[in-house]
Amino acid sequence: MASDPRIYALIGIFMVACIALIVFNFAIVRYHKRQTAPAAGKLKMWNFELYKQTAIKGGSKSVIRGGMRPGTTSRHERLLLRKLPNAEHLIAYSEALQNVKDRQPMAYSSYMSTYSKTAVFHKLADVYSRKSCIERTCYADFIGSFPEAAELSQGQLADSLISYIDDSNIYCRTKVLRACCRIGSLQGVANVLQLFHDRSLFMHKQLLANELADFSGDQSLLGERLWDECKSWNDNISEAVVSLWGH
Amino acid sequence: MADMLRVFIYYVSVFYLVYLIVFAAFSFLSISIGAYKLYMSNRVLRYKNKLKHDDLPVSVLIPAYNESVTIVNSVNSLLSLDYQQYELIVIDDGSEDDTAQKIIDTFDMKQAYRQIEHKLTCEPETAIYETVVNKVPLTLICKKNGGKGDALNMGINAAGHPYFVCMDADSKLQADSLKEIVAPVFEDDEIVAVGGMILISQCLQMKNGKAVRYRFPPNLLVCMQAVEYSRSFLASRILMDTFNGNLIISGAFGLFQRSAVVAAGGYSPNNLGEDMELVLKLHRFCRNNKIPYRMSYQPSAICMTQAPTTFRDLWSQRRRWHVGLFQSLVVHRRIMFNLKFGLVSFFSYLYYMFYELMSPIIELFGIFAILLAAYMDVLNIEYMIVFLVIYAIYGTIISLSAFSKQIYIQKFRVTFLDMIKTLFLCALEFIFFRYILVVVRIAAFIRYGRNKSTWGKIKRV
Repeated sequence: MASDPRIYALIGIFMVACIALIVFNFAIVRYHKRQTAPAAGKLKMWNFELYKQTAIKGGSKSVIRGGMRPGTTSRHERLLLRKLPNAEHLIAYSEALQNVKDRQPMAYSSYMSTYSKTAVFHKLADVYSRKSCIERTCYADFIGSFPEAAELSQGQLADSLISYIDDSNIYCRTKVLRACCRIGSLQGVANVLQLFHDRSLFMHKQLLANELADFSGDQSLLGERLWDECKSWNDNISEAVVSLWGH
Repeated sequence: MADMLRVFIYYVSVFYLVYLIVFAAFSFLSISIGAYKLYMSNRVLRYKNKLKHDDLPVSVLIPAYNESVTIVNSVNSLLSLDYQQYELIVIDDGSEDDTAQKIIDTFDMKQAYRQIEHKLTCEPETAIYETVVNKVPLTLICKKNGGKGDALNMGINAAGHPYFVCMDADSKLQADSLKEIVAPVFEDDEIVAVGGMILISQCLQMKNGKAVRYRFPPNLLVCMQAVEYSRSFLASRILMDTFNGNLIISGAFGLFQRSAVVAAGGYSPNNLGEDMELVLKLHRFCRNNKIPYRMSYQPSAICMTQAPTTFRDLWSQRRRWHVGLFQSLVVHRRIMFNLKFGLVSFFSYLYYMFYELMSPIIELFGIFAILLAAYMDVLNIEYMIVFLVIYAIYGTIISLSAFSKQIYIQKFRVTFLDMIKTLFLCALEFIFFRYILVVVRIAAFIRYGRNKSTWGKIKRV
């Protein structure tokens, strides 16, 4: 054993492993740093793109009030359809859109009104229905944050969002319910709750109540609708409904 | 006779080579897969940060026994967490000091007269006090002494939410720790338990409820424990998490689904490793009943705990841990070589058996084998020294990798001097500290029968 050359081969393997580990550590640190870099670039791009869209309104040739300049809408729509299926872009777009919403509420509503007519957000909802759970969650969150996107296609968009519940987690389910509530789709909310019950999907009553309280449509109509159905639903859903409309 | 001994030593040396190579491969895999998983989870972190959501209500259970020095500070720190819906339940397990009175006085608690349904068996409560501080419901349950597991069972009985977090009375959380530990529940319906990352508080500098700087204290013993913790939490646990094979969720910080724990029978009051025993119990319960389940590990959920600063305290803590490991593995021995448990049986259980429980005996036996080989003049000293040096360098790099991952994930600030210190400490930990632990663990075996059901106490600073 003592003079066995395999011993030295073994020592060699250990040394190679040591070097590999050191290289690996450096590689990981480098890749971690690279991960954060592109996000800033995407946000910059969307800030600029939305600035262009809203600046046209502020200039002499108003586009948003009476509709976009021919070609501008379709070019921007094509850009949305091309870029937004990437969740990284969707997040950057959301941030840029939020900036517009905070700083220029009028320009924001005109912009959303223009693009909700083109059904671009409904098309994107369909694209996202074929994506991973976390990406679907991102899109549902986007609709929940910007419900004006569903201004003219509330029912269709709600249907697409409900399809996200297949193979979903609590993140996704919460965001789908929130989106349906924020766009004010009564039928959508009832369908979501029915699915939660039928498939025995876990949702804590407090989470349900918080989302239902944010319903942007007629609260009393929603209350009436859910009150009739909640008796056949599971305890969590019933308790959430009772806590909101029980009095 | 001499020939037989030579053959014996030959096979012993083969055994040790295999033993060390398997351990080295395990360490290598742990570090590589751990880093890859952290890299992947970082990729979706941006999505998750964007997806703000309401918090799932949780009950935080703090069992306490003679904790009058730290309990008020601990409760105070838990009352200002960045979390919307949680309740704090302190369970005073018949303390002989004024632990309960300090809480009652500090938070102006009022006695409540309510029944607690004992779904899990535990010693009866003697008094219940309640109040609300910063909109957080705070409950103190005083009960007869029954051990940590018994106190936790009482807490589970009193908990009002579907998930509970168990903690040590001397542990502290970062402001976002509850949010982080609950996150896996939002991601996976089958989660029954989530383990957090334990860091040593003496090494951390806090700012606005968040650890911002990592700095080694002057106490070498604490420093080496810090290195050991990061290797354990950022290597092996992440690897075992990939196949749902973690056998330990630290009692200092873990989240559990209440209904699953109640169904499995709760904590065992007489086990010194009640945290490990519960995890094994959940594995068995879910697999035996064919319940889909997952136990996750969340390295971004940080809990800070005080490490022992003296050999005496370290001795006492590690003895408890090792006896607890022994008790848990023995109680759940049916997991071993059981196909129903898959990798939990053939990887995790065997790892804990051979590389944790049996390691002191194996290492001690190794020293005897070296002495015997030297006596018989069959020891290749040159090779032995080269091998040990290379193995020590390898172990040091493994520790260093785990430690640098931790610094990187938590975005801690470290100085160049700290990095040099880290290198030195990683080497020292591998060469020196592990042998201290060998002695402690052997002592745990020898003195197994003594003080099996006491609370572990270390001197608080």
